[in-house]
Amino acid sequence: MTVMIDVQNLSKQFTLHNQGGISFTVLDNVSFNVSSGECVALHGTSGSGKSTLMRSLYANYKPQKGSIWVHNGHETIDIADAEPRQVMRLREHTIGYVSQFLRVIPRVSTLDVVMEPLRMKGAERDEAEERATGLLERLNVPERLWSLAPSTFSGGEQQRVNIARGFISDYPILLLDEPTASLDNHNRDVVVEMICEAKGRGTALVGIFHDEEVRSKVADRLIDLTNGTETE
Amino acid sequence: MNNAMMDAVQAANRDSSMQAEQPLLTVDGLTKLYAPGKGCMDVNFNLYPGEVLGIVGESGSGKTTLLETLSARLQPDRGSILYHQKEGAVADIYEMTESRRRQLLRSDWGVVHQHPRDGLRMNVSAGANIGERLMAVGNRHYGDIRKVGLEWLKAVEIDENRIDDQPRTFSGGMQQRLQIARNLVTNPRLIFMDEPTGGLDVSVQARLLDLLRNLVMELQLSVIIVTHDLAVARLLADRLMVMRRGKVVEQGLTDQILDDPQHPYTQLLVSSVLTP
Ligand SMILES: Nc1ncnc2c1ncn2[C@@H]1O[C@H](COP(=O)(O)OP(=O)(O)OP(=O)(O)O)[C@@H](O)[C@H]1O
Ligand SMILES: Nc1ncnc2c1ncn2[C@@H]1O[C@H](COP(=O)(O)OP(=O)(O)OP(=O)(O)O)[C@@H](O)[C@H]1O
Ligand SMILES: [Mg+2]
Ligand SMILES: [Mg+2]
Repeated sequence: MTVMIDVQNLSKQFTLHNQGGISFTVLDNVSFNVSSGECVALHGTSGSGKSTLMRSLYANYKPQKGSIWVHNGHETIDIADAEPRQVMRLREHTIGYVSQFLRVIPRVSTLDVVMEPLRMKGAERDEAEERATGLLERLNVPERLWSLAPSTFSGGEQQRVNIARGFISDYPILLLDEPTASLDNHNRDVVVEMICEAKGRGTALVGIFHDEEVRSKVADRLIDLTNGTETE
Repeated sequence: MNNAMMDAVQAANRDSSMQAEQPLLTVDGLTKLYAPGKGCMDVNFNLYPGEVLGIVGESGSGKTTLLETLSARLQPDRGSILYHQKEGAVADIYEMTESRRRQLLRSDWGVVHQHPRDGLRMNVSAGANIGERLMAVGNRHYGDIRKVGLEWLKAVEIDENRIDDQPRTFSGGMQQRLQIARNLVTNPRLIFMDEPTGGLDVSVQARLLDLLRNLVMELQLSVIIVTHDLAVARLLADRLMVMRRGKVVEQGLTDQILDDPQHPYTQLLVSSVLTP
């Protein structure tokens, strides 16, 4: 098993310059690693920094200290200290991220939203469309919605579109922030199945799962951010 | 967008992004000041093929000054802009001859102005507006020029039977789309845009943004875009530069700048809008 993510002594604080300059620490010296084929769950009370850590893994947030080594197949790059275009390349080929909420782009159809990560990698439209429709079907997104922009969709529909987008590209590393939070039991089981299949393919996963049952089905280890411990 | 012509642009730009390790532009210490704090000061960055760089900041912060300086239209006080030419050689754009600079602006580069009247000839036909740049690069065949004109009108979603109409009879959104077609017709590698969606209705803006987003993605264009609209920046730009009083106060990955701004001014800018 290859170590795909190696987090070393990561610290993140926020300084709110326009609110009296107050400063607080959210991540304090966090270290852990994730190997291929493994799913690690971030755990902890609300506000303990789970999403902050996950966003840092995607370089959406900028930690002040420590490093996040990401293995892309032939080299290892510290995404916490990488140039924008290196991060962009990692996001194109190596790391996928399913955010808790879908960011809707005006006028762009569901099908295009889902296909985009593959199209950015240079895939042909036909191939991308075939994968996208397969995923949307599997996640029970009704076909009549595929040509519409997701802005008017329900929370659960948007979340499933977001999951389809995250899974379309077979990234070696996948980050999932509450992927089942607003899904019914049936769709939740589909997502659990998809996560287990990804593990089988060798994907390294990091997830936040509030749902105890989902967590116990998919997670191999927990990283507890409340007091910074790791359990099997 | 599937015609041969667009595929050709795409192929050309893809080839050049294969050698993506070479920046298209290398900007070092670029300064143009009208008065202290008015203009742009000590700007440094590299732009790589296929990258979209957004320049944001409050009114008067120097965005237009910087863009004009970058696009060979305004001589800087100091600093350098190295351009990696199609033929491979690297040259400082202000050390080139005036005629070479003009040639770049007519072929390899494009400029989309905030006001269509600055980028279009209002009293010649839409077709002639598109054809003009083709003729400037040596195309003389009237039939070809018209055919390409029609294809580009279609690509920017303008009804083909408007080809003989003058742009002054077009809506603001159509004029902006015509400006884009006029620029793209010469297969440019680098496009400069100053507030291309400014002054348009919200729904017209959304359509233009959607078009720009697709063109940029499909043609692998490198773009430097000035906007004061952070939502536009989020949608189009890979990277952002935040300007204040002529200086770049923060730069980096677009979503990182917008979601985790570090500089007090960027925090203020981001928190002043609803959902950037
Ligand atoms: N961009 C930001 N700017 C300032 N503070 C932030 C930012 N993002 C998160 N925080 C703060 O960091 C702390 C951790 O937030 P985070 O979202 O990581 O928590 P979480 O563990 O994911 O919580 P939950 O379970 O409620 O989703 C919170 O106090 C939050 O307000
Ligand atoms: N030709 C000029 N002569 C003198 N001062 C100028 C000239 N052009 C611009 N300035 C000044 O330089 C500063 C920067 O202007 P610039 O047009 O670059 O700002 P901007 O960021 O594009 O603003 P906006 O968002 O309003 O378009 C302003 O204070 C402006 O008044
Ligand atoms: Mg969270
Ligand atoms: Mg301006």
